[in-house]
Amino acid sequence: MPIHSTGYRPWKETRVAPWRRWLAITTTGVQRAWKSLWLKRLLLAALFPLVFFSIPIFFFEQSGRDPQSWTMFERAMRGMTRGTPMASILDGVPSDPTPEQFQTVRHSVWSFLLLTMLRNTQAFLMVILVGIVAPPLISQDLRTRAYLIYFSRPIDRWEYILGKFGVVAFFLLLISTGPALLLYLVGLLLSPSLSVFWMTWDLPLRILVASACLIIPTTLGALAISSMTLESRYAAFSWFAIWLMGHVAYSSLTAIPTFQAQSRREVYQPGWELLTSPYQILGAVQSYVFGFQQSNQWVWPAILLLLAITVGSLILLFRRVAAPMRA
Amino acid sequence: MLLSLEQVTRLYGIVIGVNDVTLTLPEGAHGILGPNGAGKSTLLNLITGQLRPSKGKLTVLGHSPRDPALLRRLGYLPGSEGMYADVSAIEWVTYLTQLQGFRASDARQRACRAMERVQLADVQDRKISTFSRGMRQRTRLAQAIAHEPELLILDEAFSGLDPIARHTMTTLLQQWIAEGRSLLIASHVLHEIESLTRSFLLISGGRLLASGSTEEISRLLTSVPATVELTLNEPRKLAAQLVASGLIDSVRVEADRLHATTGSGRELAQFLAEQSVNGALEIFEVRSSDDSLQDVFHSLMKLHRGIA
Amino acid sequence: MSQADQVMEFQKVAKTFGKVRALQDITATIPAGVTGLLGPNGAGKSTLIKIVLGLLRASSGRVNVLGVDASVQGKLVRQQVGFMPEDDCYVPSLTGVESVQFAARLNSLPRLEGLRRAHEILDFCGAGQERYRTVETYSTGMRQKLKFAQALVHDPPLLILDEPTAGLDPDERDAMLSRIRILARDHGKSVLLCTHILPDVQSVSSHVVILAAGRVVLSQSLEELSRPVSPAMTVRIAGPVAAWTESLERQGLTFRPLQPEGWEIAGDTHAMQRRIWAAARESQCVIRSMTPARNSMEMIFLEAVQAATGGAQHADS
Repeated sequence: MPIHSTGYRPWKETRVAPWRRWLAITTTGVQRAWKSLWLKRLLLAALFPLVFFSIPIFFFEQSGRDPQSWTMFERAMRGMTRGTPMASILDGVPSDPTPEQFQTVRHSVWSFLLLTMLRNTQAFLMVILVGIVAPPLISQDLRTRAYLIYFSRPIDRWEYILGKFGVVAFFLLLISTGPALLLYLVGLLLSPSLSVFWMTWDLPLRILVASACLIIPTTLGALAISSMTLESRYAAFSWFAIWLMGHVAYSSLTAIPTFQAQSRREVYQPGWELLTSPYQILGAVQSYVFGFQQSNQWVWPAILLLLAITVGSLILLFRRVAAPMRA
Repeated sequence: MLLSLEQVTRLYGIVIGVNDVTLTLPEGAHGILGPNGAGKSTLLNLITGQLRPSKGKLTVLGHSPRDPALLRRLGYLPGSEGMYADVSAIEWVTYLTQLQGFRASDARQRACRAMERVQLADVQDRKISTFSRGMRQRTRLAQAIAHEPELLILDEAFSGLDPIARHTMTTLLQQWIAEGRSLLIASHVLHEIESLTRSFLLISGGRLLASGSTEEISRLLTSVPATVELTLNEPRKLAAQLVASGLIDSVRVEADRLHATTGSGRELAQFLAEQSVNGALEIFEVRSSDDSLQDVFHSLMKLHRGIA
Repeated sequence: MSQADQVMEFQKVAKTFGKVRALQDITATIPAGVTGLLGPNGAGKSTLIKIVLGLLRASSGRVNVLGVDASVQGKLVRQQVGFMPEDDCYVPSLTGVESVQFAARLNSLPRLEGLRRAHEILDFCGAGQERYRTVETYSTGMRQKLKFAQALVHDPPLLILDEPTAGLDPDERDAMLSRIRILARDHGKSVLLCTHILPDVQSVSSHVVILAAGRVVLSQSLEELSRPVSPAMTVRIAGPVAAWTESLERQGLTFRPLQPEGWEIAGDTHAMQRRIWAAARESQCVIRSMTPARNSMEMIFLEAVQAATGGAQHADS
């Protein structure tokens, strides 16, 4: 037949499952964000801590066979933990540990290294990453009135928010959970036998929980900020300002007590001050997840604060994303 | 002489605004018609003196557009939303009239008269922020006519107005024209201008394609034949006669309709009148393309693009 | 009207925002085909559309769209409807074809199929290579086409178009109206056309609904509306006007001049045509067009709105 496909044609094929609609928002957002050169550099930079922290693990496992490595390892560890509450991690372990002693220490050492990586390096990178990816996500949609396109389709607000959440969460998983799990794998591979897994199987789970604590409140908070304004640079500015101000507040509040503690050769345990800085809040909660800081009573307020931020951001987002259309 | 342009060209960097426009316009109402980006706003800005031509000369009402004495004789009404302070309409119009150089009391009087003319006298003390779009547009019209200019210039004056507001605007402008004043209105919507004037300037890509009435323009388009559609009792008989007469280029018959293309519209019309009167035919309806501004513009664009 | 013939049904729909009554009592049936929805600004059109799409819940009354209750199953309605907003809107930083694909995916089309279908629809909308450029670089006309394509990509049986020809050149406007006609006539789609441009309504609609002051003041087929109360002809001539009017009088015809040009001659064509032609020949005038008089859409609209609002709307618009 001569005429084949001319003009308008109807479409009657099968649709995908409804729950996959929000995935479309995530994949599109990820593709757009991926174009940024700085983002790619950041993702690359996120791998360096992995290499950096593999080294102590290597020495630790080596020291099981070679006492000299133990000395090097111990020195490195003491250097890393000086001045922090975890300095006591290697106390009570002789220079020539037995295999049983070695096993018990392994769990704490690995926890400590994983925590340090997640809490210090990756958290820092996370702040920058979210500041790059999150601010334009909703503010630009508000500016170009994209909500008219989204919400005139069978999309609920939660699907939209989940889709946008997925964009940021994807990259955060890449720089935090991914390297952490890889570090754990490195440890497993470097250890004498894979039966080590049975003693440390809780660590991957802790990694996941710590990642969740890291990712969920911060992403929702950043998205909430993004939904408050039509200009993504205001959102980005606010994001970085919050972290910076928190850090400054915390540092000023703890400067004198820390100095006083140091002169007494003690370590200062921050109290309520850690609630002023988002970085410290996250750090405290992550430490708790990894089994440190069990006695610090300020961990629970920190957890509550994270919950409050999560819920508050969700409420704000629900109200802001489709506001012009529902007015 | 309302307007005189001589080889006026205006460029914005490499972007063309208007390209070698030469025309003279007598007093009266004229429509400037063209697609978006055709150069209508550029042309109006050149006329009001807001832009200087890159090349060429133009005079408006005998003056150079940058002559301050000219501004008193012009009224300008842009179509886009401006910034509105939270003032009452009468205050705003009075203030702008004062900027024209009138004393405060004089300006107030003129403003009140203008608000009456645009039928907003009873709401003139309300804040502009409470006005609907149509009312704001009329307020701007009041501001443009308060100083009694000879020439009113409108740029997309009907955009965003609902049919009622549009009707009110059209009536006001028809009154303006009836008073013997001049009007230049630019738009990309044909029927808005058709209700006000029969004299058009057709612009596209910064070039003036044609000017005049639809009839005049189509008469000059000899290479583009006009189409005529007739509804009559015996189309086939007429078709044979028309072919024999040589007045038409092509003919098509469909039920009770006859479609023909012709280069000699006037002679054809006279032929039809003869046939009808002699009782030979009964012609019930006549439609021709040279009557429609839309079709004229379409034919012009084809010619312009080199499509025979 | 049978269930199959109607695409929307409003039963006493009302909506109040705080103290403002946006919609008072909307009761109407929208038939299949192209329906023009007219109304002055502030009459409640956008509120009504949001209720139809299930984005707002009516304060009272029921809305059925394609047999589905919009307040209960809003998502299902939005699956079946293609909405083209009036405002300039786009998903930032996407190319034209990606935008249409994205819209398709939000309507549950698979990824690859959505892309293929996006190209197909953009062909129909007359978009060429510009589909590979980002939307930020588009002109008004291209953005309108893009919005139209996004509304159409998931093949909905009902289209709601809000000012589809706004900002379009005459040629593109014709093309857009022609596409609407094709979709209604050849593909059985129903279209709700919301616009201020009356000639558009006259050109494509088969049914007209007029809203004013939160109520439906008119809902009739266009054919019935346009039929003048008493038959008449609209004639345009070229030639000496004085001689023309004299000849018309001599032929015993009743006539009146039209603005800005033309003449309305009372009577039925078939009976009068010879006399009109005779008058033309006698006065040496040329008949440029002669068509049956149709009620002007503008007058219909103005009368309907003024009747509804008692003239108050006029001063306030």
